[in-house]
Amino acid sequence: MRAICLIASLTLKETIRRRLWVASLLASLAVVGFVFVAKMGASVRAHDPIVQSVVPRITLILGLDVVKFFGSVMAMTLASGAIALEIERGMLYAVLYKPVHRYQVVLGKWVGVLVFALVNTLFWTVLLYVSVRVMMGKSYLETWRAPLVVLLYPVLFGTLTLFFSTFASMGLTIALSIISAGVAWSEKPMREFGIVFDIDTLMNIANNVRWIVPMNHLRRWVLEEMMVIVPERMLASQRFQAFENPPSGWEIGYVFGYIAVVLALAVLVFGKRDV
Amino acid sequence: MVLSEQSEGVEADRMTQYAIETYRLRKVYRSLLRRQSVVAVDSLDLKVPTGCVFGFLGPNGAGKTTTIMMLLGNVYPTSGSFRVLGHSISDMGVRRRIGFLPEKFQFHELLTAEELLWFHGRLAGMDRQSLIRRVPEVLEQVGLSERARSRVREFSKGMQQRLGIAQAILHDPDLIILDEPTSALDPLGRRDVRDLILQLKSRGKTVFLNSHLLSEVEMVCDEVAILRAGQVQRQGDIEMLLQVHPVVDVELRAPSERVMQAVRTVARVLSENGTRFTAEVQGEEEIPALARCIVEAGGEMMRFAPRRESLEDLFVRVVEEAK
Repeated sequence: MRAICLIASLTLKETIRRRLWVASLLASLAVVGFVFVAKMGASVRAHDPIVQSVVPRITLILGLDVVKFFGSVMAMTLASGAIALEIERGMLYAVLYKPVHRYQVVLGKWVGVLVFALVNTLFWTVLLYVSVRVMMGKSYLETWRAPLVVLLYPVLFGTLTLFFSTFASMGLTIALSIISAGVAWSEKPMREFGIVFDIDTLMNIANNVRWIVPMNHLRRWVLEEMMVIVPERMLASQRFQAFENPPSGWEIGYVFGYIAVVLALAVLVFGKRDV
Repeated sequence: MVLSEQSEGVEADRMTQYAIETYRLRKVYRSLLRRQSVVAVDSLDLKVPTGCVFGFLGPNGAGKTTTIMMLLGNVYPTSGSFRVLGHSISDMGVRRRIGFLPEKFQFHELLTAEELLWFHGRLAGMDRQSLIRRVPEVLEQVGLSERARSRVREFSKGMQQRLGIAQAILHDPDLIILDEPTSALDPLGRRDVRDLILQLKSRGKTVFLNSHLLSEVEMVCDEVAILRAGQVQRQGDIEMLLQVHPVVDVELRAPSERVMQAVRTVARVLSENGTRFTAEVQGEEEIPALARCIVEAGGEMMRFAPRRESLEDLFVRVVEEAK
């Protein structure tokens, strides 16, 4: 446990000293800026009650998408170098001969990377809710469970990237992470095309993609939690037909299981490889 | 009682005859599709006595670093086995007793020298009190005490190497493996490392030294092993190995082919440069015969200096013989 904490705190210290908080600050500005732009847009039709009711809700829903994106990218960026880069630069040679198990190195890196990514994601989420409250005068505290699911995005992509980092070079790790994020993202357009053009094959592929990188299980849950504030017109759209069946609890369970399996694989692969 | 038994056990470990023993150790690197394979280390039998400074030599690509990586558990052997300090390297107790300076390394550059040593010390299982005492001590030992609070990225390559040595000896290990410890150091730095190695030896530590600077190795090592193509070509006490073939440096008044032909009948000419040549004889008893043969062939000697074969001579001879 001590070795895991030591490696995690070193990872965190390095991350902070590399001034990644500057990126975090820029992302914060983007979140606040996004709400500000939405507010300016809504103020053009200040007397339209529908606009005044719909814009804050959409801002929050889309704002969470922005937070998900930044959180995932930050976790992927940190995790991609966590092991691969340290092997390439020879940093791990002075660590691995010490009385430390390799699984402790992987878990230490995982904890260090995720603590930083999660703290930032949480900060951006709070900032989003506060900005909506301050600029638009609405607080949607009844949606509090959605941000909790949003926190799983960096965990999912950070773990997956760390797994790639245990066997691939840094360049390949980044490429594999982008491909896996692309695969996960492709489910949504495939499903929408499948619905619009009535193509069963696309729907089937979309259904299977969900199991390969389970981002859309999370997406469905975030949307489910936000459903109470989704405007009725949006609910009636084609896009939402894809989500007419509410997600079930086991989908979240699947995501947790998936993360655990990927982490176990990372430990196994790193434990078996030559460094 | 239990404590006493444990400490007796540890003491027994320290008395192990060999710090490193390998038995037919082999490492084959295979390509991803297993179409190509490279034998990096082949049937390596090595015995490093406890308490000695051991030179591990070989040309580039001989398998030295792969062997070190296997001994440290970073690379898994394809076959064969080894013991470090009498135990398997998977034994965490043994790992506490090893110090290692890698050849190619980079430390976490945003940490200060002090922070880095604290991190490595804690990882090696040292407690706070020991670190408070030991960190300034080793920084002083490697000449970095004035840079304790500087970040590693501000350090030159030589200073980083000094810090690497500090990291390797911080937890007072019994076996210190140094992979090219002086490659980035200036002559003064090299002398400091030499003194440090001798100091460690005087305290009963075993130093396993991989270096291309053969003059350095010759000055500090008790035993050497010369590796080529993954196999040990020669291993033993350095004094014994170097006494086998004496070498004579000769300078003639004028170059003479007749003299050189005569010399070749009793000795092996290692190098020839105008009026000077170096010849190797089979044993000390052959030295007068060489002098006689030069004189009889009409050679006028300006200089005739028998000397012990240098480690470099031995290294070149062994590697060429193995080709």
